[in-house]
Amino acid sequence: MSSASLALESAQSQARFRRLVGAELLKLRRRRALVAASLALIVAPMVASYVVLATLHAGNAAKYGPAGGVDNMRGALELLTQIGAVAAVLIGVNAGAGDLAAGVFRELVVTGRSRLALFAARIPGGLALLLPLVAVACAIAATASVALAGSGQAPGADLLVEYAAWVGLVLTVGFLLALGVSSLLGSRSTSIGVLLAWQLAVAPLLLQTGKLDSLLVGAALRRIEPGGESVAISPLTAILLIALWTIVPLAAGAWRTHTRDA
Amino acid sequence: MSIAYVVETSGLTKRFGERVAVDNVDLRVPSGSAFGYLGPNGAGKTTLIRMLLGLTGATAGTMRLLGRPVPAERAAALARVGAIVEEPRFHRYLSGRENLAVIAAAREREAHGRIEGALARVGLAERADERVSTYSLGMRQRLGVARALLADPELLILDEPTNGLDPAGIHEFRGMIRGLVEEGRTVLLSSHLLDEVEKICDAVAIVDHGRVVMQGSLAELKGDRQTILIGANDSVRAQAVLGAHPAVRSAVKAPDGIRVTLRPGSPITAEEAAADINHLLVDAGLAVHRLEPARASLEERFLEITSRLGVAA
Repeated sequence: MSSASLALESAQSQARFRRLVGAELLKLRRRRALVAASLALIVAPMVASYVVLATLHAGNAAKYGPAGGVDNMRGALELLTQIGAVAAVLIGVNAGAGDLAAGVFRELVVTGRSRLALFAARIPGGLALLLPLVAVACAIAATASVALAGSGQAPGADLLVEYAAWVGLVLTVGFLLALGVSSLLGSRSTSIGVLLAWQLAVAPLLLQTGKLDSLLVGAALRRIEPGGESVAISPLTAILLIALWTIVPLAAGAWRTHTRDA
Repeated sequence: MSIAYVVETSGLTKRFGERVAVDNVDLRVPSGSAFGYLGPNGAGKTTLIRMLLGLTGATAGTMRLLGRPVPAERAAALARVGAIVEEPRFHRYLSGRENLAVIAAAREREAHGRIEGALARVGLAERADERVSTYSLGMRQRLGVARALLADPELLILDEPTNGLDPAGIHEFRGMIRGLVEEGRTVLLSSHLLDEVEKICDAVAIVDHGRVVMQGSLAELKGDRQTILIGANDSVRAQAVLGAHPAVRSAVKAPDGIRVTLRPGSPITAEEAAADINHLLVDAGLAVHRLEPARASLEERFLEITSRLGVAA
């Protein structure tokens, strides 16, 4: 086979995959409740945080400092990683188990398209909904932290970019974990229950003990937070942990998608 | 390249634990036909279709779809196959058109260009932008057919496709199937409805307890017994006269006349025997007011076959 025909085949394959990704995004963005919940959990907290901070400062400037600045930005974005993680779970679960729940997975398999391609398209499809919302939230936080810095220290561009990348990473990890687990379990409700229990109750408790940091993805993400608290694991360990916590659930989800009766 | 059979299975078997759902099935679906896969509920029809489509694996046996071995060349085979398996399912919050777009995205690029034509063909063009949650069951069935047409299919596999349709919808559906066959496509129609299969299909396989117990053209299946129905003014005398004819195996009085069954392997054809019998009866001074071939309905054949199996079992 000539290199020209290989290149053509590759381009066609990429175009086919892009169409699948577009279909995944369509399925997610047309879920009004999901989009509303995601906006409420990602964008709204940023708006609310800075409105409250600005109102407090305006009401009593002596007691409450300016709404902007580095510290408030850090606080707002940490809040975003916690609340936004719920949205990441919701998007991930809908991407992972939405077709199965609707009975449409069978109809997709009947097209003859590879099940692994169907699974893989869920990743960029879901991120195409999640990350723009995260970008908007980060933009709000960045704008407010600079514009409302007052006499305080405004964050520099480097720090803003680092924080935006970190927030994006945290929520992407949450999304991928949810996608993998829901594809594995095949049930939206069970997956949401398991993941939220883990995210909101079990993982924070384990993190508080400080004894399992070398195993928990939360500790790894804290370790690489820009200027964040120090966690007693190396950056390499943190990166490996993050890779492990994303690759293993994704591999399990892909395997189950490949093997399940449709 | 044209192929004789669009579906060929050999020794196809599916077991769920101890239960055998599909038992050593050898099936051949001729190209360009409407083929009925007929059997009672629970006979293993859907399981066989699910194996053909790669929705579940086979325990044993081989399959070919459109001449290609599956699962080895499943993707290439299914690219030209459209299917409805059980009740067609959709994302109910998406419109009909969006649901088709989702499936078209998983198929070749040309599939997207077929959406409008498919919607028009099933009569859903005007409601294509409404959410599927507002569709009736009949509309969802039609949308399922539209989805199957996105493949520009050489083979359509339809599993109980008229479930939930009203009489007008069933009539319309039959016309649509025949139209597809006239275009040169093959339709494999799984159903437990004898009447439906008899009206739509050219050939049929009868399945029971996971086994194909008979397959062939509908004419073969219904007309392999050579039976003639005779009406005469004196049935008793007519029976006596008929009983003496060398080609007649039996002459039995029935509510609609005398049913004459010819001997299998008789040197004369059924038509020749009918003419001869008519001549014989008239020569005997009997007035013949009815003489016609009595074809068994598919239902009679189906019951005959399945009851025989039941006795054998």
